[in-house]
Amino acid sequence: MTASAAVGVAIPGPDPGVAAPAPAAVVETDAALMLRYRDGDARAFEVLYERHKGALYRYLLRMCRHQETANDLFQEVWSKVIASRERYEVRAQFNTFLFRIAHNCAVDHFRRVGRQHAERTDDVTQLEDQLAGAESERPEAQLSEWQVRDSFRQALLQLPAKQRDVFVLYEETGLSLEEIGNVTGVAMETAKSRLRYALNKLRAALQQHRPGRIEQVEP
Amino acid sequence: MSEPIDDKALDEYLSGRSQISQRYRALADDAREIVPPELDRRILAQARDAVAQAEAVPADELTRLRTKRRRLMQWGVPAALAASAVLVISIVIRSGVQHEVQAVQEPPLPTVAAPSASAAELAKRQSEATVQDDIVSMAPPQNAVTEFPPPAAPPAVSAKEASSARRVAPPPPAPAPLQEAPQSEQRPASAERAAADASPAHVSSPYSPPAAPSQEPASVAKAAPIRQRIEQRAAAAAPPASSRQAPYEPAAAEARVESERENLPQAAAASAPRQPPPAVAGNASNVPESGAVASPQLPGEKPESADLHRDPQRWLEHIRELRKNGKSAEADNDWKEFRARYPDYPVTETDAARGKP
Repeated sequence: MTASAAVGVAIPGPDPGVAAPAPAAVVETDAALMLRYRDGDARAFEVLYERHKGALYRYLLRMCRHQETANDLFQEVWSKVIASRERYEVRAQFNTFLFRIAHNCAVDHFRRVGRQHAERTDDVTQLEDQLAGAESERPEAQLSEWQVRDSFRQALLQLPAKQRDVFVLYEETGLSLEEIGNVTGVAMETAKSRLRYALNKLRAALQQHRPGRIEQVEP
Repeated sequence: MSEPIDDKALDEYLSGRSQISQRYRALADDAREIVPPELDRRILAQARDAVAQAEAVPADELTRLRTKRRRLMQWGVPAALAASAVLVISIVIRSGVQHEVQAVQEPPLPTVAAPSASAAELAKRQSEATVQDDIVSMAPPQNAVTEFPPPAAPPAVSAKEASSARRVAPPPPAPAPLQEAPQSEQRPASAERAAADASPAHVSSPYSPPAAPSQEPASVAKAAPIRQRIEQRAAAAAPPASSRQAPYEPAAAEARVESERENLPQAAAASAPRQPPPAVAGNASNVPESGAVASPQLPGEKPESADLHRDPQRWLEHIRELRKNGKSAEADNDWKEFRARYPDYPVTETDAARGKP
């Protein structure tokens, strides 16, 4: 991808987690902000940070499924961005640059704490059981939106890391499958396949709470 | 297989109309998934600190560079002056050396005295080495006499005195008496006088130099072929421009002198393969073969024979070889010619070159 293309497309989508900044008359691209920060404009970094902090934080939170770890990784990623500002060149979207760093940090973290990660998976399963128990105490007619959301969250957390990685990247960054493959270091078809598997599992989790499915189950 | 269904669901998802995307975005409303404000402050402070450090570092670097440049400028002028001085001195020294080389090398070029002298020294060394072999041959003393300086003594030595001295001197049977022979009564008074007048080299030499005046032409004549050969080689190797007539070319002159020095031992060895013993030479040095030794080439002579006839010793050897090979008639002719050219050259009565009486 050329630099000009990267500069032109680098504005991320709306961040549902944080209040969207007021649209300025001239919206600077991420690459332009990063270049300004490279030249010593700390305010440019603040704008950039506000744009991407929510997506990055959620990505890390979904990947490591632990808030403290997500906090550490979040700070590590931004520290690397700050440290690399003098070497920064507009070669791709800032999103790609930022989430490649985040992906590598997450992978390094998984390598460091492989066993702990497995134990944490057990924790998630245990948490899911607790949620299911709480849900089961409720009458089926009172299935609320909150339950569906929790069920979806648990399904997301139970996805294999690679499938979850692709799905969260797609949702949070708006990158194309090719760019996601570039970030994760795989081919586009591989990323697409992983995304397909992730969607199937999430869809299955959502269908469990459909009234029609219950009717079908029941004789 | 569920591939078509999956593809349809995937296309629907990628188009953004999927319920899954809506569910996912609904998760973001959870307050637990918002970045803690403390973390925000920490990261932003880190970013500002990085900018502040970067602004401070270039100022320090700039100051350091300016200081370094100032120091370099302080040393720049003296260093440039020193370099210029070294350059000028080296040029002056080099040009002075070239002038000295020119002054040393130019004078010997037109004359042959120096090369002949050095050739004589080399020949003398060789003659000392071969004295044991040629002790009987009674060779002429021209090579040994070249040690003496040119015409210090007048050419007043008569041929009669020399011949009488030669006649009195018996053929040396062994080297030991040869050493004593010059100091004996056979040495003429004129020779002693000449030896007394000669340079300190004479003192070390037991041989009187009465023939010194006549030896210079001999040495010149002997050195002539050497010089001719050297010049021929130089002419073959060098461009056709004559170095002698050119003003002066130091490099060419150096090369010429070097080649002469290198070729001198070989040339001397070739021209005087067998040198006479010093004692005999001392005896024979009384022989005033002023014109005989330096025999010019005759008009009808071949170059080889002329070369041969210039050296009586070699000529005698040639005659001996002819006799040895049974060419008596040719040897007789050569002997007659030899005698005609060198009537006073000492040849023993039993010399094979004389032939049978």
